[in-house]
Formats: sequence, C-alpha cells, structure tokens
Amino acid sequence: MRDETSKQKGMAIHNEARGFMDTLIVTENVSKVFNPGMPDEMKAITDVSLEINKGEFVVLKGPSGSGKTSLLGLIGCMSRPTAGRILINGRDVAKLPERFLTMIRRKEFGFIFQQFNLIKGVSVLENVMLPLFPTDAMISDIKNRAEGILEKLNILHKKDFKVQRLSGGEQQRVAISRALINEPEAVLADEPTAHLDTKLSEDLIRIMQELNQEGKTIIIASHDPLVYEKPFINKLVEMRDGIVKEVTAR
Amino acid sequence: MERHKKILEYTLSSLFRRRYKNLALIAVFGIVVTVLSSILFLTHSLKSEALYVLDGSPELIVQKVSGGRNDLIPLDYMRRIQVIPGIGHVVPRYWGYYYDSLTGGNYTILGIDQDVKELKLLDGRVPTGNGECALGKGVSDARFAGIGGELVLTDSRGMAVSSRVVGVFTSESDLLANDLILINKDEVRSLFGMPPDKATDLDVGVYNTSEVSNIAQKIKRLLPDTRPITKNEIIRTYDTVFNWRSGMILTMFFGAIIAFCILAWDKATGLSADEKQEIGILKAIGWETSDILEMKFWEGVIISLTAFLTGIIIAYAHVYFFGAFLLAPALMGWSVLFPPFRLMPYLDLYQITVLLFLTVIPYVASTIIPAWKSAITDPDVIMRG
Repeated sequence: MRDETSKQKGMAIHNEARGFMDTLIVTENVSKVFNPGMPDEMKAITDVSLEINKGEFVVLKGPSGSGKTSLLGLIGCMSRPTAGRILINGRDVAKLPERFLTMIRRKEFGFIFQQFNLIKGVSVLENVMLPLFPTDAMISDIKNRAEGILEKLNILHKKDFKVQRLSGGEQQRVAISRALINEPEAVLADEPTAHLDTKLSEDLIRIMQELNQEGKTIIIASHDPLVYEKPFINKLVEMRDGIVKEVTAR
Repeated sequence: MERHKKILEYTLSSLFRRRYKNLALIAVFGIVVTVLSSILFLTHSLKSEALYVLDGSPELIVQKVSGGRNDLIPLDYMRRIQVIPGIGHVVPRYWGYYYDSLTGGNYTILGIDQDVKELKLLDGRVPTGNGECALGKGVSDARFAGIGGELVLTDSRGMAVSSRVVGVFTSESDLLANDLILINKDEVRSLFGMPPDKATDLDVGVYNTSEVSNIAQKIKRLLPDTRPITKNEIIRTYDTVFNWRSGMILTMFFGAIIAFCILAWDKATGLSADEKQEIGILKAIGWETSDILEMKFWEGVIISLTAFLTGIIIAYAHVYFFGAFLLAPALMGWSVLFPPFRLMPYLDLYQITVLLFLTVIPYVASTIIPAWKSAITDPDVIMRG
C-alpha cells in the first residue's frame, strides 16, 4: 500500500518535471457522423473539444455507444472528422491527404484494438513486425526490435507461434508489442480489458502504467471500472451520447 | 528497395496462408493457358513446317483435271507449255499415294531420276535402279525395314513388288519425308499402272518468279483442262485451313475462356471478410494505400505468372513431346494417320506475348481493383465491418 502511494507521488513529480504542459493532441469542436444523408445515419460524437498533454494517462469513460471508440479513432487518425479540427503536435490532421495521415499513424501512435486484430495464420513475431514492413528499415533491425519488445513482455518464447494458438492474455501482449514496435509517442487502447479476466486486466493496466512512466502518453477508451478508477490516471473524460459530459484532471 | 522486399515477403506468406484457394486458381488459369497455347503452338508449328516444305517445292505445278478431280497429265502437254515465254523448265513428276493395309498408313511414293546422286537428310544412298528404295523414317519404323531390309508393296495388278532398302531419311526431315518412299520413276509407273505417255503432274520452272501468276494464266488459257497451282496459292491455302481450324477450336473453347474470366472476376472481386479485415488492420497499423495495392499487385502477378508459365510449359510438352494428342484429331484431320511424325518446336514470341497480355494483365487488374476500394476506405470503417 505504501509502495503504491509512493509510486503515485513519484509519478506526479516525474510528470511535472517533464514539462507536463506540452500539448500532444487538441480536438476543437470535433463531430463525427457515420453514413451522412443515409437512412442509417449515426452521429457518433458531437462538438467535442479536448486537450491531451504529452505524458498524460487519459481514460475516455462511458457506456457502450457513448462515442469513446469513435473519438479514439479520430485521435488516432483512423478516420476523419465530419466537422472540427484535430491537432497532433500542433498540426491540423483533419484535412491531410491519406498518406500523411498514415505516416502520422505509423510514427506517432500505437493502437491496441478491442479485438486485438492480430492477423491469423501469421506468427507472433511477424504480427509485431508488420507496422514497420512498409518502411526502409532493415528486416534484421526490425526483427531485433520486435524480439526485444516481446522479451520485455514475456512472450518471446512464443514468437514463432501462430497467433490464433495463443491465449487471450498472450494475444493481448502481442497486440501491445505490435503497438510499441514503431516507438510511438502515444499508445491508444480501445476497450483493452473487454475480453480479459480480472488478473489479465490488472496485468494490462500495469503494463500501460509502466509505459506511461517511461514517458508515453496513454489514451484508453473503457467502461471498465478496473481501468478508470485507477488513481494514477491524469485525466478522466466522461462521455455520453457522443458528448463530453465532464473532464476530471487529477 | 528494402520496403518492396518486405512487402513482397509478406505477400508470399499471405499467398501461402490461402494456398488451397490460390492453387485452385492457378490450376484453372493454367488449364486455360495450356489449351490456348497448345492451339497456338500446334497451328504455328504445322504452318511453319508446311512453309519450310514449300520453300523447296516448285514455283508452279500443272495438273490435269477431269470431272473436277485430278487426272494423269499427258506428257505431250510439256511440249506445249515449254513454248510459253518465261518458262525455264518443264519436268514430269511421277508420284502417288499408297495405302498400306498392313500398317493402316498412307505413304507417298515418289519416282526419282537416276541422275539424282545424293540427297541431304538421307542415310545410306539414293536408289539407282529398279528394285531399290529409300524410305522415310516413319515408313521404315512402321514396316521394320531398315537399310538392307526389304519392302514389299502391292501393285495395281495385285502383284507383290519387292524393293531393297538402300536409304532411310533422317529424323530431321520428318515432315518432308516421314511417309515417303523413293523409287525409280519407272517403278512408280508400273506400281500405279500409269500409261507410258502420262505423268502425275508437271513441275514448271519460271525465270522470273514475279511472273508466275501470269504464266499460270497463260497455261490455263492454252490448256483449259489443266490446273496450274502456284506456290503462293498453296501457302494461302495452308494459312486459311489452319486459321479456320484453329478458329474453330478457339470458338469451341471460347466458352472455357468466358467461364475462366467469370471465375477469376468472381474470386478477385469478392474480397472475403478476412481479406477486408486484413486490409483494414494493415491500414490501421500504418500501411498506406499504395502499400496495400503493391501487395495485391504482387499477389496477382505471382498467381497469374505461375499459372501462365505452367500452362505454357505443359502446352509445350503436350504438343512437342506427346504429339498434341488432345488437339491433333481436330486440327490435323485426316493427316492423323500412321506414320506419325514429330513436330519441330517453334515458339512465336509475339503470340506468347499476346497471350500474356490477354491473361496475366486482366487478372492482375481484377485483383488490384477490388482491393483498391477497401484500401482507400478509412481503416475505422473497414474494421467496424
């Protein structure tokens, strides 16, 4: 218990020392409508303005359908907003051509999907290396980097296994490894504990905390109290019906 | 370069993951290419062989026609043709077809002059008198008669005529001489019961080959019951026959081509849910649209080129090693009788290139285009399904 409190205090000091006021992501009146003008038109988020600083641990909290996954996707440059601006390191990405969005996605973000979205039939190692395939990095360098990350997450011994043969917790670690291969500035996770038991969920949160302590910005969309009730979270963004209800900075 | 290598490597592993589907595609694609290229090889080889044969044939052959059919030509016609200006030589030819009931083969029996001393492509020697013959390889094999052996034929009176084999044509001369029997021209007349004042046809030489058609017309006017045949007419006939027959075959297989196109389009356009998901994931983790399309390009090229090359190789073997047994009866017609002969391999790069463009490129396009639709969609949309 004392260790936990000390750790949290240490983190707070650490974050302040790092110049916590560097803004990484800014959304200005961002809205997203799926299938506009169609009978199945859906307003996922409406008029969301948010600031996320470098090194923060942010949780987007809300029930299913609150828009947190959509907001995460917009922040992660997976889709474009219907209205509004999104600034990543001061650069408006909403109107960028697709290849620049992809470059930002590759360089700035590591994404952990709710379903993990690992490619079946492909080995653990290859899945982790995939984000760097379309770069000019040497295959040997990518492989070394991937093996280093897998070792850190205690899954290196299964590097040649096909991912569908892994357990849920193992797949989760592979997904995290893949998100880290490109040394991103921010790690985005969409409902990462949705398919995990309590122990595995705690493992995941611990890994996220460690990454945050290393300086990475963590943004998690989750409705799991195991996630959003953690004391080391810097910012809790509460969403409902596509609107930000409350932002609690700790 | 490194990037392209890695994308290619991933493509190969992706193809291996869906190996059963891809093998089926390669098999179907390959069969169609095999059939199409077999037709092209066979018709091209036959035409080329025929043209090679015709290269050494007379510029003008004069036959007598009676009731619309060939008849023996009187030797007196030589004298009348010889006076036409521009005529070089007029030589009677003695030859005919002989059906051998023993082997079921049709042979060509050609009479030669005694002053022919040697022939290229002949092992042994030219027959110099009665009772000697030279055989084509096909005849020699069919009748088990090599140099020093005996060949017995039945003449027009039903009498057996025996000849000693003094020469056998080499295998390089298959189309020219495979079914040929060379004997003294007097023996030809006696074998077929030809009157002494008649010949099979006349070999007419002209000084100026560009005047062949004019001279042929003059001969026709002078001798209305004759049929002058120029070398060019024969070449055109071969062309027409093979083009017609190959066209017939192509028409028959047009249905197969259409079916293949439908299959390829169906397979390529209907990206499976797995494939769409994979594209979405790759985009989400940082692959650009151009990377996805490059991957699909390699996928299309590998499958189609593999199928194309396999089809070409099988077609080559089918035509040149196995005698085109699937197509020969339709394309070669009556000539598919003993003795068989081996076609000389001919490869027309132009035709192969055309076939390549007609098969590989459309397939690659039908692989890339549906993938393009998924590749340009936001990964968020694809992954939501």
